[in-house]
Amino acid sequence: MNRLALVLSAAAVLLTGGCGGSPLSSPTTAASEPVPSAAPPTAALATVAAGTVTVTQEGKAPPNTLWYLRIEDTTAKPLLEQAYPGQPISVTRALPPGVYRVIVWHRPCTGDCPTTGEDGLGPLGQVCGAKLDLTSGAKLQATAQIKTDGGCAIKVAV
Amino acid sequence: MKLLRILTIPAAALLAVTAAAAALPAQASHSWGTYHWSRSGQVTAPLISSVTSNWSGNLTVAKDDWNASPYIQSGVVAGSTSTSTRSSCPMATGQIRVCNYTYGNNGWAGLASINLSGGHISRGSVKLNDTYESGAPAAERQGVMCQEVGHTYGLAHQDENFNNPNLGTCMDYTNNWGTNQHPNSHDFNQLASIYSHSDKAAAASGTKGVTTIKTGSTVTMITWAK
Repeated sequence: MNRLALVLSAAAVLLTGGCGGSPLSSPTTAASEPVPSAAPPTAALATVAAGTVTVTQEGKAPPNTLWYLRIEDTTAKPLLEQAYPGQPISVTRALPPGVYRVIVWHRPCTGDCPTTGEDGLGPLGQVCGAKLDLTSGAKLQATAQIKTDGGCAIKVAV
Repeated sequence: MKLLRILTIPAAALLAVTAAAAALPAQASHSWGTYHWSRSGQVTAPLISSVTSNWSGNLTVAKDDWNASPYIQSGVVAGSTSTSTRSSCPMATGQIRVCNYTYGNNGWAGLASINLSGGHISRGSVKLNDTYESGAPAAERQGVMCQEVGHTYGLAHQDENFNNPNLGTCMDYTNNWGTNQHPNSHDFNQLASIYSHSDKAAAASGTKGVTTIKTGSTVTMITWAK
């Protein structure tokens, strides 16, 4: 698996019913779990006016830290989970209207951060999150504000 | 007649099942996956107090609350209250460190982390975010303390809707902690369910509806701030 740990398509998200399964154990180990689909993505897209969530990073991450992004629904089911070794957080996803939570966290690395696996990764560092209320057709911007000491906060703007 | 039989047999069965269920004690169902401490007898993991004086009373009350369970008997032991310790809140084997610190405007009121070894909880930590909690009402501070410590024993939330009526337990999200500062009977039933069996190792698992982050052998549950 490459550095991308887990990205589930927005189309699959549209078709996911209820809350299923446990939270992902780790973005580097659970990347291949598919979201069950009941119908082709286009069928759902035709009936639901998706909104868009864009997450970007503000501030430079401290050296030797690996940052993660997760978007989960109100049942805490991860819809997207991704690591960003050596690059700023940046993603845009179309999602059906609803309430979501954007979560960002980091782990310290021994030397260079790994692009796969957990070797050299330390314990959970700072974690921050914010709720998003996405309405039909809306475009939400969430900014992960990362401080030099590893602290973080999520700022949400429409 | 055949149709009637098809309809009535399930109905009778349903009635029987309902009656049987009503005769059973209330079953709690808010364990944090299958995580639990290894123990011989009670769970006696000490609570290391790495909290400042304005939290120490809350920790003592929470300790007494959870010790009301016949399966829990934790004491409070003094720990470092240095800024660096409270900030990082390092775990110690066989113990649960409880820390308060101004962790920032990051959206969470508390974090409970457990480390797993051999299928059991081997150590735990609780972080209380003073950014939100230092000026919070006394009932909220007590409730959050109680909830985070409860997580480290293997409990999840009973409810995560801030807006519905209180369940009378600290393991319930609420806008008003007045009646949610302490555990209730469902919590004690759940602890009994977790700890009354033989002490076999638990398979690692998560809990739906609860934000958790797994880092190596450590699992962290997040209690979001309102």
